[in-house]
Order: sequence, then structure tokens, then C-alpha cells
Amino acid sequence: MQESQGTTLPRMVILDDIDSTNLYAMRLIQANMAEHGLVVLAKHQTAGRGQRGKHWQSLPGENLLFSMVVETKGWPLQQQFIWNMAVALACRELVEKEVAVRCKIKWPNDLFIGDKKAGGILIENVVRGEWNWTVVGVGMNILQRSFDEELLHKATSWANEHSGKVAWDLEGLAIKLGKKLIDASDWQNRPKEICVDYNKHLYRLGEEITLKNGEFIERVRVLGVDDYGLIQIKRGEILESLVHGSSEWIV
Amino acid sequence: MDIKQIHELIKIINKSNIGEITIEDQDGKVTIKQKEEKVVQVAASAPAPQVYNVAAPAPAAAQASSAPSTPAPAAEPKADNLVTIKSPMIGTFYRKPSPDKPSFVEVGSDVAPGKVVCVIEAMKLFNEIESEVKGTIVKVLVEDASPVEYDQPLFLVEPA
Repeated sequence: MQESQGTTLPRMVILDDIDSTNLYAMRLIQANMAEHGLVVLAKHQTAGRGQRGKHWQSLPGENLLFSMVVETKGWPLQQQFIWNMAVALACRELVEKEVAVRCKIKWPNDLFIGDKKAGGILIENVVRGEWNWTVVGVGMNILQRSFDEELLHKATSWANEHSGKVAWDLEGLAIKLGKKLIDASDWQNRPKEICVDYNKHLYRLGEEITLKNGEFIERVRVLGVDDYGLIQIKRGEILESLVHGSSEWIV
Repeated sequence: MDIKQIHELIKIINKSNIGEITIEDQDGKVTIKQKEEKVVQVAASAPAPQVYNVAAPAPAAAQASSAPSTPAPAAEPKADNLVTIKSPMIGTFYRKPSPDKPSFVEVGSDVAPGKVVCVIEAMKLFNEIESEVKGTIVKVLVEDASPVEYDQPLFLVEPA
């Protein structure tokens, strides 16, 4: 294993073509072949997933298709949303540093530049009596320039948002992100701080958003996200907490 | 009552566990009745938020606790030798890895430590729950895509 400035570089598996980096990492865990800090990077994935089967647009070699295996023995399962917050913050920081633009977190874990999605996070955990492993999947649009008609107003990439010269190498980015995630895995020492930070960078905080719930479309104000991941909203004069999946947020 | 007030009322009732309401004033009478399946549906999308210590009570919370769809595992006849796989967390219980895939396990499936039996989702985080025992699934106690509580029994296993 290579060392650099005292920090261990994440060990990395690079694949040309795979169903999804998360599925690959989960299979390694199932086969007892996973190790803490292992990064899986793919040039192309055929079954890249968002939330329960939603597809994520990706072209070969253009985007960051990344998963990292982190051992979680002793982590409290009931507080896993704080881990999600820490992961989202790590990704956001990377975007801001590399692209030099503002990057916000859309609840619960999408990465937005302006009003467009630049990346998404898919966290999958393995629970064997206790929380054993977490697989952090990150899909980020990096070099992709063109988007389907349907996605044009919803998605963007680093290349499309960056005003300077574009010279990112995906392996280098994977190493940077991997290091940030390993740093973030100390989240139990600073849960309050993470929650405050997450809210500070929350997309549309304090603003009105559109929610769709069956037939009803309504405007509500975003007040914040609590440490269990519920979004606090103001509907008229009434305060409410919503779980993810109860309404659809229309951007 | 004008149409806007009625619309508001429907919205409130839609999010509550009220089955039927009748309001009468000088202009007339309005009865709003909620469909049975609607009640269940709302419950299914709300993984018992009351346990999260919600400051402002979400109306859906009351729903989750009073929903008729909530299984009553206590009423299950239980043989002494059976092992119960319980939910380690609050969330939504899924029997399949994705909607188009077969279930992880069925009644009669053999399980062993490390075998995935279900996924529990909470706030877009997905948890693969593995069996800790070797044996055969004899009963599935929770319906696919329904909310589960911490420690709620999910499966009965006959140990091998």
C-alpha cells in the first residue's frame, strides 16, 4: 500500500464496465473480500442507480462513478442520517474546491449547482445484527457536456459550470474524495457541528419550494433538516416535519 | 363554505387519519369521506416519525400508529423453537432488492448468517438486513413496502 504525507491512500479497484459500483462493492462485502477504505471506480456503469432503481445518466469515462467501503462496527444505526450529512458535506466541499462554484445539498443527499443536479449519493449499509459496513456511492457529472433534452434543465456537470480550464482526472478525484470520506468517518465526535453545517449548505433553506403529493401541489417553506433526516417545513402558518418519500419535491 | 375552503379541508383530511367528516352551515352540508386504501397508503409512506421526537407533530404520525395495516405480531401463534428476525431500526421494509427483482426470501427459503433477508430504507439510506441464524423461513410477518418500528418482528425462522 502506498503512503503519502502520512495518510494512507485509499486502495482502488478500477473497472471499465460494471453494472454499478455500489453493487460491486456490496458483492465484495458478501464474499468477505471487502476492506475498510476500498474504493471502486468505474469508467462506465450499465445499471447505475439512484433511489430504488431510478437511473442516473452517464457516458463512458466522463463522469465520476465511485463507491467506497467503510467499516462501521460500533456505529449507532439510529444515527445514520448524521453519516449521510457528513458524506454530503464531504462531496460538497470537493465540488466547491475543484469547480470554484457554490454547491448546495438538496435534501436528503443530492448535490446541486444553481438549480441543477450535478451529483447524487446512494448509501447502502450491511447490517448483521449491528451496522457492519457502509457503501458510499457517489455519482458526479464531471466532463459531460451535453445532456438529453429531458435532463437539460435539471442536470449539469462540473465542466459546464466551471469557468476555467477543465483538467480533471477521475482517478485523482476518486483519491481526494476517498480521503475526505475517511476523514468524515469520525462523525460521531461532532454530530451537532455536522448538522449545523448541513443546514448551512441546504438547497433552498428559508425559501419556498413546491411539493407534490398525489393530486395536490402546494408551496411550503423549508426551515431545515433535523438530525434524524426529517425536513422541517412551514405550510401556511403550520410547522411540520416530513419523512423522505412522503411528497415529491418539484424543482 | 366556498370551494377554496373545501379544498383546504380535503387537504387537511387527506393528511389525517379522519375517516369521514360532515360540516353543516347556513349554506348547506359537506361530507368528506376518505377511501380506505388512501388511509393505508398514507401510513405506508410515513415510517413512524413519532419515534424521531418530532417537535411539530406530523399528522401522518397518528396515522402510522392507528393504521389497520400495521401487523400485530403479538397475535402470531409462536412455536417455542422459532427464532424471530427483528427490525434493527425504524424505516420502510422492502422484500426485494428493487421492484422488478424477486424477493430476497420466501416462506421455505433457507437462510444462514450473512444471507440478506430484506432491505429497510430510512430517509433514502438503504440497509440490507442479514440473517444471524441458520434455518428456514416459516413466516413473513410484514408486507412489502410497509413501515416498521425498531424491534418489530419481521420473519420467523425455524433453526436448522
